[in-house]
Amino acid sequence: MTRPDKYVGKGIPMVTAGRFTRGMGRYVNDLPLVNVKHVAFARSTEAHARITSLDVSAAAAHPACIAVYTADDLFPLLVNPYWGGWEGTARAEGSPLARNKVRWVGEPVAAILANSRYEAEDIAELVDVSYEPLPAVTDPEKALAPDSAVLYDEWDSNTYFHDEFECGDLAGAFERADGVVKRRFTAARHTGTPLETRGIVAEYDSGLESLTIQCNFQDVYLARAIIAEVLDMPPSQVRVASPDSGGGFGVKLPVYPEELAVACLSLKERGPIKWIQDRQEDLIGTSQHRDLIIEAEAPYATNGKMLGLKVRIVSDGGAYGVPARGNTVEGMMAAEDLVAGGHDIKDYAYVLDVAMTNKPPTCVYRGVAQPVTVFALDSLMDAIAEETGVDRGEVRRRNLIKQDQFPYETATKGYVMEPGSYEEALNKALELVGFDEWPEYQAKMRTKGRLFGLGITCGAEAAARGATWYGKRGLPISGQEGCQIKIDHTGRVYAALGTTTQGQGLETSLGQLIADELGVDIADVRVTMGDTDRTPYGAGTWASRCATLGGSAALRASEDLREKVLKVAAARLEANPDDLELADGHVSVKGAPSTALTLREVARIAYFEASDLPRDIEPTLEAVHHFDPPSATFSNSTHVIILEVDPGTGAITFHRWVCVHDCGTVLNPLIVNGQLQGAMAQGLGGTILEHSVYDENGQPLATTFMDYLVPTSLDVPEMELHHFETPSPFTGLGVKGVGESGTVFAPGAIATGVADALGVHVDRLELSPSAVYDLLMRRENGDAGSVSA
Amino acid sequence: MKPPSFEYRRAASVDEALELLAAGDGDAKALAGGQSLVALMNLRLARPVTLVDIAPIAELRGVSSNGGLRIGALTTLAELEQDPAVAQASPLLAEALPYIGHPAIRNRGTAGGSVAHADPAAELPVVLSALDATVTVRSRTGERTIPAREFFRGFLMTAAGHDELVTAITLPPATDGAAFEEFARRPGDFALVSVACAVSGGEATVALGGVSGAPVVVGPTAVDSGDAIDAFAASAAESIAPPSDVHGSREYRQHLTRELAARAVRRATAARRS
Repeated sequence: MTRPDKYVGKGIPMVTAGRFTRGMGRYVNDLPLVNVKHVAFARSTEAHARITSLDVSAAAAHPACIAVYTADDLFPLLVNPYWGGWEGTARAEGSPLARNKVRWVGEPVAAILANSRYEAEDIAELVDVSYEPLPAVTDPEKALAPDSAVLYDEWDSNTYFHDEFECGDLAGAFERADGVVKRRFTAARHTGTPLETRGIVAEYDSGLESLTIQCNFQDVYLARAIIAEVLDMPPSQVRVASPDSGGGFGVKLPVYPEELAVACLSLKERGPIKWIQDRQEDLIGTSQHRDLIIEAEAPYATNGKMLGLKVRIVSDGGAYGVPARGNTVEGMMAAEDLVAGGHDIKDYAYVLDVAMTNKPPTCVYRGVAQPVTVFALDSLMDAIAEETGVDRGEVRRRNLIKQDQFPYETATKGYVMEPGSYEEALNKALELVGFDEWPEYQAKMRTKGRLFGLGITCGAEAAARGATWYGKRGLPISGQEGCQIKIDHTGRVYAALGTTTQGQGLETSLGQLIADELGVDIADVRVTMGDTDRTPYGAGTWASRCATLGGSAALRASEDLREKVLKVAAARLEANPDDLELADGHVSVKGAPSTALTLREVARIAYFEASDLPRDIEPTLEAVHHFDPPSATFSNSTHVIILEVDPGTGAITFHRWVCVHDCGTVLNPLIVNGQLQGAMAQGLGGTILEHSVYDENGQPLATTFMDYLVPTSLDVPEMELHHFETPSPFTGLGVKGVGESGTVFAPGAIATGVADALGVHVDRLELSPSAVYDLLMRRENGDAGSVSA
Repeated sequence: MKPPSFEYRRAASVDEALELLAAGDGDAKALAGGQSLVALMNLRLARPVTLVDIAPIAELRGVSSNGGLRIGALTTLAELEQDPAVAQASPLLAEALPYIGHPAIRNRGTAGGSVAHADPAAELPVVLSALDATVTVRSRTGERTIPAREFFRGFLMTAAGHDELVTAITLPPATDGAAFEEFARRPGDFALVSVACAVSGGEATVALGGVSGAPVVVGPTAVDSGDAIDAFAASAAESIAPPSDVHGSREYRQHLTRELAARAVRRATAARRS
């Protein structure tokens, strides 16, 4: 069927923009509520300690106190205590409020209910807890040592997950190699800092025996599964709905202790309970990310080809198991994606350990482990270039998967990668910055005392993973996505998806796609998301999956509905449906446009005059479709950065930042570019500004926006974005994921640029000016960095 | 991040404000632009029982120039930034003002508030210390004028008593040359290190911000050659023992101090020559 393309491919401004810029968004904190009780939490001041006494009498005696709850009050409600992880992970049973022990600074110890948050916070200060401190475990490698203090009394070590894997002929690769580069890479911790923090309103209706949760979760069905399981309620009696959300970036995927506590409290109190996270709670208690160590050995040939890869990965899992998703994701994705990142590596082995530590849990944040794997791979490429004398561009060219190797099956877990524009994107980006003239230019600037560097990252972002990632590992996380579309009795369109909106423009991009398929004006398409009572079963927003999978489901549902519209019209026009076309709100006979019905007339027939229709055409105009991807999609990109390091201050100035990207068919270039720019800014932030720092006692040191620095528009340079469009054969319209790719490739491009500017290895993704100063000192002392031969 | 409950009083005159501050007996705080105090209250790090809002007091606003500058405590930082008389009478202050936070903060934040708050990384205390300016404070019992170099005592600590209100800042006439240098991790953040330099009669004085509990003044020292400037900058860096924190190590801050001091003195002496 030929596709009308009135909207797809055009930079339509977001249809939600007017509502949001006029302050008419409706977030959790905006919900009108009657008789709501507010929660504040008393939190642990210790990273690791036994609770020797917990006295809430002073708090309970406060005149504004409605109730104080501790773990003992809530535990009877937790019929099935939650634990985080999949098959093979150690079982870390959790409680929404600490029981006996605390394991991170900020862990909720007691919940206070009052008529206002102000009063609740006053009362929370009166909760009196005595602790017997235990040694804080803050370093994941030390956490794995036999002499480390152990977080969970019933475990014999802090190992949460261990995995080993080998494929191909790695021993042979080392034998054939002309040399081996060895490097150790680490990455600092950071978090997602959505503009809107977490928030929840839970309301139990004791007449209906049903629980309604309004919360800015990214995956409402997963949240429903966890909450229903923990409270032993039928999932059908639990509704989870997400109103507008001011960003998530992954950190709103977990169901956290606070949200579970609020759900429990609404059962106890039989009325609406509200908790809005403040920024300090966000910076100390929302999931954090990266904190990965990758030790790599890469055998190579003198022509610059990496022959294999052997890695040891240690991931800091944090203090407790994240319900369902667990804390394995960063480590496991690092292990898998080192060889699913667009490079042709078939001989591979990894050893992975995820360690528990006395810090907030690590889970998923934009890009997950890939910013670190790309940093490691491109640093290894540069190390091979340095050893072999082959230029840095050519080394990458020799290692990227060749066009004739697609579809390419990855060495780990059998992902099938579709074709992209790997070499074209690399060549284009290098050409745009004048790579051939670069060495001469860099040398010229050096003679002027100016330290210029060129950074390169290239490869693939694995996105839109299907059931194989979580579902087949036993978790209630769906890989598919669903879309229901209805044409109402006046010809207007309503679409409902299981995804959630975080401001990424799905109302627009999917609206474009649906409007094209159904031949209507985009203003007549309303897209809603994220409500377990009202939207089809889906998996929510993560893994750059919404436009890819939600879009595929929407496309198929639209196609079904279009077919039905034509059938209904054909019956009335006494024509063959194949002779009809639907465009501009009309169904007409091809070649005879005067014989036509408006969509409104067709809808009227379908809803109110169905008795005129043949019996095989059901009344109404509704369709639902679910789409499950065969494996994942792989968008490819190359980033090239030209930067300058100020030897006086350690500051990094960006002179050029070129990104050549291929996410298949671009539904809306404004939205795609916005996704890239925002993601690149977050990648920059995580590399040079945003660090969740902990001291050796496990105390968080970056607890406000004065110490946890998020990039502003003044810190983000101009980005030069270019696109190729190699459609994916696996998805509707050929769309591939785009949401995370900027974050995936930015850090490595900055790090390899700094390494090039200073002539030293950059081994850690934490390039604050002070850290760059340390590198400058290494340059002065002739210390290249971690071992490279 | 909600403040504990407090009493809010609005003072119509300086005398009324002073009465309320005295009655608070150490538990009352003056509220001007609220850019620092309110954030501290939300973090429950400041817990005033009474907030005395001095915003309505007209006599505390405005700038007068008579060679030097007399700045009323409630003059906003934005008003100073936009006042041509300020640029004329104190090029050093004019150069430092855009470094203070962001425009929205300068629209609310006041000169007196910044001085009274005494953040060691804030710009105004550093500029006042370099210029040897004075701070005027008043209580029910009278007024006194304190040299800036004695006013800033330590982290968020000043020579003003609980019952005293900062009413004005007085800057001496412009020096022969001046320059302000600052490095922060993002534009508008508190300085990792800032350097205010004033040059008079071939001698440079620098005040260093962000490196100690209060601005550190070094000099005056003759700076008649490039080598002398470098030596002066190095001695300034060696005279301090800055803290290590999430934003940078002690060594880095010392390095930055030397670098920025050299830059500032070079510019200040070049400005003088031109």
